[in-house]
Amino acid sequence: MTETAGGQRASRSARRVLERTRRALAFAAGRRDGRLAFAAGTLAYLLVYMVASGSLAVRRGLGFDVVLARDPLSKLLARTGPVSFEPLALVDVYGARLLLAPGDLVVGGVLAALVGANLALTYLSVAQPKACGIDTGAGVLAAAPALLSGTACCGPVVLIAVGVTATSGLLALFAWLVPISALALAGSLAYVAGKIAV
Amino acid sequence: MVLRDVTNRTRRSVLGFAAALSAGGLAGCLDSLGADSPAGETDAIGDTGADGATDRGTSTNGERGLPTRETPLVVSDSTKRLRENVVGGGPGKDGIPSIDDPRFESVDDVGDRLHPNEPVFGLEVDGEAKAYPQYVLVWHEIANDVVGDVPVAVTYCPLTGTVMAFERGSIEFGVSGTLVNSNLVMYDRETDSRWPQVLGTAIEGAFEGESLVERPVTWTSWKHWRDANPEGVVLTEDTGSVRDYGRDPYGSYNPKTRYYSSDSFLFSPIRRSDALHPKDVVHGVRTSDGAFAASESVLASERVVAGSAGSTDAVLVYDPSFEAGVAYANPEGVAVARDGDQYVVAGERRPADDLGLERLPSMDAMFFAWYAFYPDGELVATADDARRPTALRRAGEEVRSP
Repeated sequence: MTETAGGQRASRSARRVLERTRRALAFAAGRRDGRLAFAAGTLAYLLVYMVASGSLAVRRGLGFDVVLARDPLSKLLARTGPVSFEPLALVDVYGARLLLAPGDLVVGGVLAALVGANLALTYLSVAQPKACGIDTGAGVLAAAPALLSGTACCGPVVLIAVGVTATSGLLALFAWLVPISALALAGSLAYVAGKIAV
Repeated sequence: MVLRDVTNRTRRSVLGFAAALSAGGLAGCLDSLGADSPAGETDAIGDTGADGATDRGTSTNGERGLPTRETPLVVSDSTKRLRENVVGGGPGKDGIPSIDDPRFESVDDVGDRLHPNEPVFGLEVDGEAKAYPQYVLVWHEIANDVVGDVPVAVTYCPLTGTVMAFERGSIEFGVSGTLVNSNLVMYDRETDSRWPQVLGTAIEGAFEGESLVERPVTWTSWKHWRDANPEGVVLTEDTGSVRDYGRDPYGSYNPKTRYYSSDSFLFSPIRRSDALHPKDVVHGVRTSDGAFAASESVLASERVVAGSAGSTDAVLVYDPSFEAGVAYANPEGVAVARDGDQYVVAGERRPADDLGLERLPSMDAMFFAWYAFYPDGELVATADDARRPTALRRAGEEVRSP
């Protein structure tokens, strides 16, 4: 009986947080500065995520070129790492090289949207007179772990870069960096939403 | 729109591509591994070739489709211990896609795609010569190919700096996504047996304890290979996958940087020795009962290093035309002496790649990996070692972790 009551309270509380977050996001979406903060945060994080995961690179001397994988449909869901996917096309655009993997774009896009939403609400919590706005910007740091999640041929890119020997525990952690980031960003979003009086 | 002009490259319009993607999204889950059916290989099982490349005693194993040695290669650790030391590298099975339908172009068509000092892996079987650029294989690690009518898997592990070719019969190999001693663990697509590349011996599965038949591969530079093989062909970037070819995730070989030169490991080996820098290159040969290796820089300066791989007397020579080591069995103890760019063998002047002795498959390897797999093998680490009688040489001494 007590457990049921506790469960109901938790459920009500979750619904309340979700509703509060939804209203805060709707409020941000209704304001031009909120939309701008969201777009800037989303775009900036997506670019950084793509560079960190090797999907986007800057190269001197690249012109315009498009190369498609053979039989791309069969590779649509093929993974190259725990949360990275097989690219289906390579696009060179005058100095920039883009490896297009739909799965990576979805993962990066979801994380980037969460970062953008965090940034928009953080901005509004500061800009809006009734908001508390203390320490809310720190939530965007939750996006950092996902930037380390890229794997090269045989291991995590960041370990290769810094020359650290991987332990099995560390390797297991790398597989969870993206989900951890997503959950932390969602938690941060709910927290910041609570700081805005809508 | 400009589509890259590569012979036989798959070309599709952007509209067609977008439509395909949409269809894929609607189609739902697709088999990400692709077709496993082997390419139309010819049955060349047991063919030792005119180059004397394979070991004495090849088993045909025709009913299982995979040629294996009659006598397995030496393995210092139990298969159980090796299996216990297998780690996942991050990518899953086939997360690093093997090249299953490799495309080639002639030497004349390569143009400036390859820098003269670009590392390439040369393989010659029955008169057909093919080169596999390191910068392409670093993204795929395995190319299932047919050379000189012999189906082979050309395999490269960037973390141990080892390139080896194995006869594969009617079976393809893939990248399992796991490693032991930082070395690529391959799997065969028939029985899913697990084959650490350096060992060439299965440590798990239906083929456990059996060894593959090797073909010698030469790690050299594009300029050397091109000059020696003007009629040869070169693997292109048309691998079926798209990658940022030209960017090596581990570092660079010209000059050696990052992982290739640092003293750190990405994964801890079973054992370590400080007889040489971990990433120093050794040239080694294994037989059914032993292993023998020499530092490549010592081999380059001494030009001839004799030793024993178990009960097999062997001689390593340096081929200046490829800047690479070559191994021969020398059971009679025939005198081999340097003579300019060539060698005098039993009074006859011969090139490094044709000493008139039985050629043994051999490999370049980063020292740490060689030692981790063959701790008891004879090692020539210094020029003094090379001049010391073989019975007085020692394997590298193991460094105990604190």
